[in-house]
Amino acid sequence: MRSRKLSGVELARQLEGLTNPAGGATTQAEPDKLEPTQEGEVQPPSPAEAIFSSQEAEVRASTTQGPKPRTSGQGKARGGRPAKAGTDGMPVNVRLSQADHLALARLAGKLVVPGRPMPTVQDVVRGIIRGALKEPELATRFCRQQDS
Amino acid sequence: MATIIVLAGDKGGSGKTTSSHAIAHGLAMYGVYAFHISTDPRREILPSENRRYATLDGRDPKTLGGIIDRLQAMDRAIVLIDGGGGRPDVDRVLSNVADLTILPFMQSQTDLRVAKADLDRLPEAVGLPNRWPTQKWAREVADRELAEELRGYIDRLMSPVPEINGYVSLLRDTGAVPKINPSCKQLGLRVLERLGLSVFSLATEAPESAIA
Ligand SMILES: Nc1ncnc2c1ncn2[C@@H]1O[C@H](COP(=O)(O)OP(=O)(O)OP(=O)(O)O)[C@@H](O)[C@H]1O
Ligand SMILES: [Mg+2]
Repeated sequence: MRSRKLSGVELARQLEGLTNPAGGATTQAEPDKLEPTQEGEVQPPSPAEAIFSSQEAEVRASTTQGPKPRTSGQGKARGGRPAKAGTDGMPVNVRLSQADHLALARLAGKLVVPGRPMPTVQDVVRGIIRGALKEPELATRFCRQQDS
Repeated sequence: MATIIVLAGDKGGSGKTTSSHAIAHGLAMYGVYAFHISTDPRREILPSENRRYATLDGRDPKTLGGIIDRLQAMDRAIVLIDGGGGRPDVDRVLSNVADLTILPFMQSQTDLRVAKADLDRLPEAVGLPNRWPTQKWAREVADRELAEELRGYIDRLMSPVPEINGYVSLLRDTGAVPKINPSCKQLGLRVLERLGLSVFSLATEAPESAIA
């Protein structure tokens, strides 16, 4: 293992020092793998993103508008954005604030059992819902508390 | 300190993105706290929802630097950084934060030539023959071409990853299909071993600092 590694700050400085950090042409990029982007669409933050400060999120939000991913005509949207609806037409994604995502990530971390796979965010949310169904009074109280 | 693995290489479509997700997924299956950072400005960030590891947006250098500094402070985390083809300068800089730089390449004369140039440019990187043929005669041809083109670099190569059915699911919103779990776990372990690490030293409850 290397002993001396660049710090993140130094990495950023060096990357910005490159003439074209965003990168030139790829040798044989497959155009069908490039995802179309819809204007003005904001992705919900992933739990991981919630780890980072909102300040960084702002930097990110402002810079990702820079080099737009190329689009390949009417290709179907995939990658990058959660599906709007499942096969049965039910909505499958819920928009949460960064703070809520952070709470989810924290729960996921707490749920790790040594020797077992990391739970997915889906696992965590499913657990919360099932728990709420088992303890409806508690769940109702929590939800009501939120309103006040 | 977190362990950082960079997937790099000048050639597009060699399997950088797929392999980086495969390693993150494979290690997360062992309960390792894994992060995936994409730096490719031509790609959207895949959502975390259906994954056992977090997917982060490192396409902006400043944001990437901030992410790296935060993750560096986390002891047991494994961080996979996905380069994006056609950016030799970026690869070189990224490899300077890496504990291990992996250069996937497939079986073609172009891939082999590019891999050779990459191995020259990044003297600490290792090559990963990817989507390597398994059928007897095809494998023989591939191995022979590799031996010729990468003579003198053999000690810097990892054992090959075969064509994996279902690997493409790693790049979908729905996440990895279960049938590829064994392949991903195996690749994850092989990478850890390259680093002198084991799941015993990494798998644990998530460090509180990761999410605090
Ligand atoms: N071992 C494998 N078995 C089967 N398919 C593979 C394997 N490795 C990669 N692929 C497929 O090859 C294609 C290219 O892979 P990938 O997008 O990971 O390459 P890349 O190096 O990230 O490309 P780019 O330089 O454009 O970012 C994908 O469709 C992926 O599913
Ligand atoms: Mg890629």
